[in-house]
Amino acid sequence: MSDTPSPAPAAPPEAPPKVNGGRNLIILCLGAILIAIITTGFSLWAYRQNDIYLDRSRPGFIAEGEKNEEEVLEKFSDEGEIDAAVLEQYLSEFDYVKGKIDGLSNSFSDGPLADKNFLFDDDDNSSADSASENTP
Amino acid sequence: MKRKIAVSVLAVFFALVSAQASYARDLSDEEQGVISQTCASIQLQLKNIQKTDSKNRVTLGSYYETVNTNLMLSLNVRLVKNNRANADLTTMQTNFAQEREIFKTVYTDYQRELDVLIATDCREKPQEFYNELEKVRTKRAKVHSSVGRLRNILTQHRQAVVKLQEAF
Repeated sequence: MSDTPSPAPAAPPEAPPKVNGGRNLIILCLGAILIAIITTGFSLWAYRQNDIYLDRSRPGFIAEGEKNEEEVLEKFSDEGEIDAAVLEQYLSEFDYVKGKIDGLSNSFSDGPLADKNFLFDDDDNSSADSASENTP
Repeated sequence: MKRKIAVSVLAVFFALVSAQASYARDLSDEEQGVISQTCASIQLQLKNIQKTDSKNRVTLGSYYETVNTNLMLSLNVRLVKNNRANADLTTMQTNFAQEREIFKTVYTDYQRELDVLIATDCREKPQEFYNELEKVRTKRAKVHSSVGRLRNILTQHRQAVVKLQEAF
């Protein structure tokens, strides 16, 4: 008989951590939905703040045929020499665009929102007149 | 002391509220009647104005972008590359870019206020509608002023380029 102590009885194996898969899946789904709602809400809020006023594609706002003609204008080259002839060409391009801008100089004048458009009967003035005042 | 401060704050608050309330003149009964009766026509008119403004805003914005990027900026870069940097032209381009941002902001403010005006029930609340109309007019005037300032910068820019051209 030996005096060596008998080995301690092996500890019972640890139970694997309990995983509640169903509950986690629900939390994941709800989290994803919540994040989607928050980000969509933020996007709509940002759109409403600014871009909606430039978005002519919003349903029923401006029909395709009513849009102003848009043209692609050439870019003045930032390379090359500079002399009087080059500046003359620059002024030519500049004057063309400035002419277009000057043509819209009456935009946002106070005419269309003047009292005469709101405090008198339609016989005295027509809405078309006031709207056309604003049209290029 | 605290009471004095509270009273002062209240006085300022009521002064501001009354100033806001007296923004527009009081309409006579007859004028209110006209607005109520022609409300549908007025709403239609405002929507037409909104559409026209939107088109003009986009067109002007496009031209401003072209002038700033394709012309003014390119010219300044070319001048720098030729060791002929022109401080006046650079300043004008910076001012133009800044004013463009102001234009965008005041236009958005104006359109937001116009949306509120269109949503206001002019048939039932003509005075409220008129008060809102006054606010829209003020916002619209700011947009108009910004368009004018941008035009002035372009005019000055042109004069500066002509002066530069004469120096060659």
